[in-house]
Amino acid sequence: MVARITFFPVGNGDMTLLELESATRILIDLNIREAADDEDDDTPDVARMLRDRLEYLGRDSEGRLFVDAFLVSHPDADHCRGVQKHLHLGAPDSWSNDDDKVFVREIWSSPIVFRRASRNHTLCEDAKAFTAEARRRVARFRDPGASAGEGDRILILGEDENGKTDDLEEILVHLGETFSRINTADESASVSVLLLGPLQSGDEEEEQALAKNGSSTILRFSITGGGVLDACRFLTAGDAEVAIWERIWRDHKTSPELLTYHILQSPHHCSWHSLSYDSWSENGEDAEVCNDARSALSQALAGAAIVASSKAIKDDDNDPPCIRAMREYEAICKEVGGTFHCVGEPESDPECLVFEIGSNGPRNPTKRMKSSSVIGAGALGRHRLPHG
Amino acid sequence: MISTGPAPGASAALARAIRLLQSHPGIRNLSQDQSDPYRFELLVRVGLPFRWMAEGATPSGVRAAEPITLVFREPIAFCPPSILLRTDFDRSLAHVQPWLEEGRPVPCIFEGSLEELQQQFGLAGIVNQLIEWLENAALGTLIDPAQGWEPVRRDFIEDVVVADAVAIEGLVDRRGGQATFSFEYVEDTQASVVRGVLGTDQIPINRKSTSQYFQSRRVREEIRMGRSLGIVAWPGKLPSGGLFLTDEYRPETVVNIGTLKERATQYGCRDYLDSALGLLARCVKSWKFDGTFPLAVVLCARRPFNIIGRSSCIELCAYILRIGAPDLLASGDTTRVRPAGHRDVIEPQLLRRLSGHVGPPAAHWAQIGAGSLGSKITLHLAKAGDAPAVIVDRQNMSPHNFARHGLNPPRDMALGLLGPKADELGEAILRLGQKAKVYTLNIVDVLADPDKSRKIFRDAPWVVVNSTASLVVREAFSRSGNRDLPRVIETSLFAGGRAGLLTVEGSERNPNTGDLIAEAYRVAGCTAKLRGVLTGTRSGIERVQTGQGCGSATMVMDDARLSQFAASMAGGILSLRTDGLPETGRLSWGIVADDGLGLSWETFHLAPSVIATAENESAWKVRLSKRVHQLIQRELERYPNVETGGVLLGTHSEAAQAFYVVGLLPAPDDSIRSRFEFLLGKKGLRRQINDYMTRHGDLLYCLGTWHSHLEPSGPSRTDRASAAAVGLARLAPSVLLIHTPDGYRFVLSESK
Repeated sequence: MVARITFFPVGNGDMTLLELESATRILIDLNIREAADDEDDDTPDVARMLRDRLEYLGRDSEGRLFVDAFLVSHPDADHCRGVQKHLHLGAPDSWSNDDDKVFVREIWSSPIVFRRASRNHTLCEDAKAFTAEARRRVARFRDPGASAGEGDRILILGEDENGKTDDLEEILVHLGETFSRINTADESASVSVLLLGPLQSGDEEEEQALAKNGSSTILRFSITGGGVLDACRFLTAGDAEVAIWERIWRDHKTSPELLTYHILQSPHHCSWHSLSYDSWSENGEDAEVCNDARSALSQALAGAAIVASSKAIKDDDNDPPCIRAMREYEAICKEVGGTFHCVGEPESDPECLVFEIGSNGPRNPTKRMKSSSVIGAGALGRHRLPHG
Repeated sequence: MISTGPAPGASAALARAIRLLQSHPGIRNLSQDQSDPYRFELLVRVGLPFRWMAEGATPSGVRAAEPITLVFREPIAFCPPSILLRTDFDRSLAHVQPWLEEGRPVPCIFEGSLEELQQQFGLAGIVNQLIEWLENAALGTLIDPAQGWEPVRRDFIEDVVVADAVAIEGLVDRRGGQATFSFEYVEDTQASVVRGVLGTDQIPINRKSTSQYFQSRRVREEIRMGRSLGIVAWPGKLPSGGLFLTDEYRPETVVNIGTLKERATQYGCRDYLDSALGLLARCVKSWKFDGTFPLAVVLCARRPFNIIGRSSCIELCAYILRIGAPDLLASGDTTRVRPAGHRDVIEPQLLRRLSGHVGPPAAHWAQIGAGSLGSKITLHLAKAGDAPAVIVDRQNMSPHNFARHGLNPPRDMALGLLGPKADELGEAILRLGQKAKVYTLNIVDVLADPDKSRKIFRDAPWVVVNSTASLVVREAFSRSGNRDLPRVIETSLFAGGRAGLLTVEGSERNPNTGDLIAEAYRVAGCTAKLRGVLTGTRSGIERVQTGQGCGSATMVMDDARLSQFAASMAGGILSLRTDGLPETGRLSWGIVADDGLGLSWETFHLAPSVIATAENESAWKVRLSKRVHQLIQRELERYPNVETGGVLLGTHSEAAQAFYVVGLLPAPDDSIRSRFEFLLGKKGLRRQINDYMTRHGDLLYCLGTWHSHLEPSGPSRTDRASAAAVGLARLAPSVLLIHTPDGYRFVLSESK
């Protein structure tokens, strides 16, 4: 099958589905807002879009919609909203036909699930539920009498600083490591994944700098297309901010190849704070770009696409998404003849942004006109309509 | 920047087409020709792989923004636009038409007819399909190995070489070679067309005996029949030992011996062709020919995978040239060569039984469409002595038609003499002792010409049976206001032959076929078994795939299944012949049992539709099914003292300029009714509309709104504003229907 990357129109938040040539599906983050579940609301029904796509790819032998792996880049609400309602959490045999939730064969999680909630780490209900599920799976792994099958599996991306992952070597991916094992299968013919973050802090000062959105998982996927290995490089980083990128550049500037990409999901929904220590709303055009962070984020390959998973970007003080950050990313794209995309646009009718990966690399197929544009309900049901 | 607008004198349909092109997400820089308002230049975005996107084009030259010219002509609802590529577009790609228009290449974007694609999916479907084609061209995937190799396109070529493909494929070996066969032909000397059949026994070429194979006699003024030779040449292996493969698609370019030899070089059989022609040239030096003879040449190209629809990778490329004596080729390498279509010989299993059964009464009905279903229905009736008085079909018979057609191949089939289907069917009827007037015309053109239409249908006052399976023909009948036109019975098959539909128009053609089809979709959506028929028929315009065959778009089913339906439908029509036509309209769905044995039919009767005319656009009509009209009456009885309303559901046809309303959704709970205003709420409405569309496979959808006025007044300013709001939000036209004490009226609205 054709490998694809789909960005769902979830507003300021992330939700990305990778489909590999092997038919393996990896879901990165979830942001299904209550309003998106309301038929009478104009928020795109991303739950339906995701389910339709999974349905198209086929259910498993138990009749379940499923993903092979589900990553929560970090447990902020805009990255795990809707987990309880839409994904099956708990023991595999408790999956219910009536609820028909999406079954997660393997969870990918940063070691943050081992940290307790604190004033700096308040967790929303979905994050708590995800954390509990991750811990359940870790406990299952640790239980010598149990075997972790599909629905019980977990992969921990990065070591815990307090040694809580010391006994998890078998399900642990170390920082800087490349892995192709997904749900216990060797997927090296389809993908290899490089773990670039979360970073471990060197000292207390750096820990503080890295703490803010510093726990985001950063992955660089090398995806096979049309049978050609490494046809598409995709860099995704949750909400990683400027200090992280500065440090990543410091660590990798002698081997920038590791940071190259065809597709970059601009961190933190096109936030200025991934590129600068200055505040956009306070400093405006005087805000300065952190050159090292920009270098880390500008290893674009020919024709690269940078994707803002955000609301429509406007020329205002907002951040994220930030117009100044968009300009910076557009400049990066321009250098390589690439294109900047915002998933929230057009604002009137945002759709999934899809990239297909063939032997010549990724491409963004031209949008077709939908039948709903011609014969859809149009204005009916969107507004009250007076008839005199 | 889009610089278009409706030009003075241009039709509303053109304005609608412009709006759609402007709204299409894949189109940029649309501009209208200043001297010809029907001509548009535009750029189509082609989703190239990133690195080529950065360079602006693929290595094969397909650009990230391809300039396209669209040329519309009236009537737009029936005529899809001509699509022209830029002059320097690479013509070596598969699925490029073999001809040029205005010196520009023309893409073949769809396997069937564009007219039918337009009727099914509209202009949006054509543009979507063009994008699909361009992206496949960019990716080099116009030829899909899974579906097979696309043979070199040879549309509209009249010369024909009939040859047993399986026998020739059997000749092709690793050594390469050539062989000579007899070639029996018929030649139209006036039209310079040769059709012939290649023999199956090889003929050794030598000076003495070969000359006896050349014979020719005049059978009519311009027709000669005769015997000549045909040369077949095939490739061998490469010096490296591997088989010689031709894996590059090239359009047909052969015009003379020189280009024929170039082509033979590409196919790896040049030496063998030279050898055969050289031997023949030496032989004819001593012969005395009376005139010249056609010579057939078949070059075999070995492709990397099987040819579409065949179990062999050998493509047969046939040509006709003229030879003489003592010089074989009058002008050497510039001697003219014409590409010829290859036709297969008919396999014995394709032959059909035809038996005479005489005893017909006078025939007073017309059969439109002499294809598989039409021919069988016609023959069933003809064999009951009740043949049609008129047969209309514009297409010629082809060998593949015999897989399911009611006719057996004619005796002179081996000579490639296949005439129009209507003629062949008329001929078969004649042999059954009956006579039909046969017209090889496009029925759509006939219906557009009142005089022609009157002349043809005065011979068939009882009924017209439409078995064309063509949406274009259906819409043309629905649109026709010709009062001389008899009622239409339409026969069609659905879902790969799992279901069949027979509709009979009511008295005065009300309900008409459009009403009946919309109602048929409605009842199918209410029946679990039939729902699959709808959802399998149409899956949304964004999902049309590029076809590979460029041949006839036809439903795949076996002859037995088709005959099941044809026999049933013919039985139904015969009953009507006996019992007379019903006053009301009638539709019958037939469905095959899971075991393939049984066929069960359910019939629904339909009272005349209630027809409303537009306030602001006289040509359009709203046609309410009687059931919908009664539902509205019931709602009015519930709310006699306040205005009320709801949502209209059904389908519409731009070609027939009609809205067919077959369903209603009640006003949502948050609607407000008062004496002077009805406020249509929104609670749950979109879900209801979406569910309705899904249940009916998107064939039925929301058409607009209706509401009541307590006084016999026309649309208020509020109504017009609401109509505009509804129209703005989608591209299809919408209806705002008003019920007043003295009847219906409506406002047509669409995005401007």
